[in-house]
Amino acid sequence: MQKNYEYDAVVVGSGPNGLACAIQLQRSGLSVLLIEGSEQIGGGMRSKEFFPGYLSDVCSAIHPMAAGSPFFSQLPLTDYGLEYINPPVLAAHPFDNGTSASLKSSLYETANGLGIDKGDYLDLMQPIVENWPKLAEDILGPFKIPKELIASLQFGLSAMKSAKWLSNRFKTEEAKALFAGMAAHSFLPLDQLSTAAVGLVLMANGHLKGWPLPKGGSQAIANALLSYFESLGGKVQMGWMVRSYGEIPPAKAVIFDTGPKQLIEIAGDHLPSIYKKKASEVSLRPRRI
Amino acid sequence: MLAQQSLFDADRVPKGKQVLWGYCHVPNGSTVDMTNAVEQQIERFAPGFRDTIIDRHIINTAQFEAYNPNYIGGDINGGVLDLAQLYSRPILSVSPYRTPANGIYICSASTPPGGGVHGMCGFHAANAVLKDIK
Repeated sequence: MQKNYEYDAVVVGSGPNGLACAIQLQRSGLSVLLIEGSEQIGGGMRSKEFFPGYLSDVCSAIHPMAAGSPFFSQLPLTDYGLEYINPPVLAAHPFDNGTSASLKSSLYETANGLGIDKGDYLDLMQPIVENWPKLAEDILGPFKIPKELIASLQFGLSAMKSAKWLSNRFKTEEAKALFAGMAAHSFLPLDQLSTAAVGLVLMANGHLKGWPLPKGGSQAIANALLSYFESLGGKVQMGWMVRSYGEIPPAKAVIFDTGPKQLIEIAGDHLPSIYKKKASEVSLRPRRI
Repeated sequence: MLAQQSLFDADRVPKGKQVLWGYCHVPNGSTVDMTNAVEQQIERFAPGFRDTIIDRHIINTAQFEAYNPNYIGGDINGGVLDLAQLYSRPILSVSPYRTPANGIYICSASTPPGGGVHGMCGFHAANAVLKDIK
């Protein structure tokens, strides 16, 4: 039974993942409608003038993961207005005595700034920086047996550890603090297993693609993604906050760039109760592991 | 954590002015005003900072959730990304993007590899859709 749909796929929500999903489907030959609840696309990439003439990012601001994204890197976003600016120092951690530890694009410059921890920093980061481009797509995805098994295991052995444990390899407060600041992006207590992973990935991306800010604010990433999506023939509808599944134009696939809570509120009638129970149990608070 | 984007992207601000963007971590759902703590920490390393402030815009976790309903309790990552939940959000599955309902998928930061502006959740979800309907 082949139904005729106006769209092959509808994506609800225009955050980075909604836009990525819509683009990947549209460029694979499907017809896609992207629905956004607010009047501004981008989700966590929105920028706003809270005071006239002063543009501020509202959520995300600095973009090592966007610049290093295996998917976004495939897209011609510079043709659609995206320009990354990389400051000479990517990140710095200040100390009371007026010194600081800093992450620079160059692996060696960063290591050189860490005094007696130079060798340890290079030993830790060099293999990750070298292997990351071939690991990224596997690691930044659902669980599966990685294609690059040895390199993945090597990364995993460091990444699995707690940031606190891993930073014990360093002797200086500078190196420990720099790594702790990176790992804090996990939003977890730093003595918890796997918190090292976030720090390692952010630092490796810094050495590969920098920690850039988009010219014109994070919104510029969203705008470039949307322009590219529309150039492929994709359709977008803003200011439509979807409340029920029945509002969504029938399609072969409906993809929610929302939390499980909104998915259940909107499409709960179609989902088995065991799924709703499991998905709504996603923990919001750090637990002891 | 602080960023001063306008130092490198001058078009964001009037000439001679700056925007300072920053955040700190608080427990999920906390609405304790952290403004003073944040400004004190900046003063510690940049004395005199406070005297330069023209105005502030402050967003707490509740306001953040109102701004973006995906941020439950202010959580921009769509749920804790610890070892137990790294691959198991929203449920433990080899294809966490599929739901049990035919044709309904999820691609947000609440799926692997989690929060951050990289689009990889959306990319993998789209590939799951393509496998199913092509």
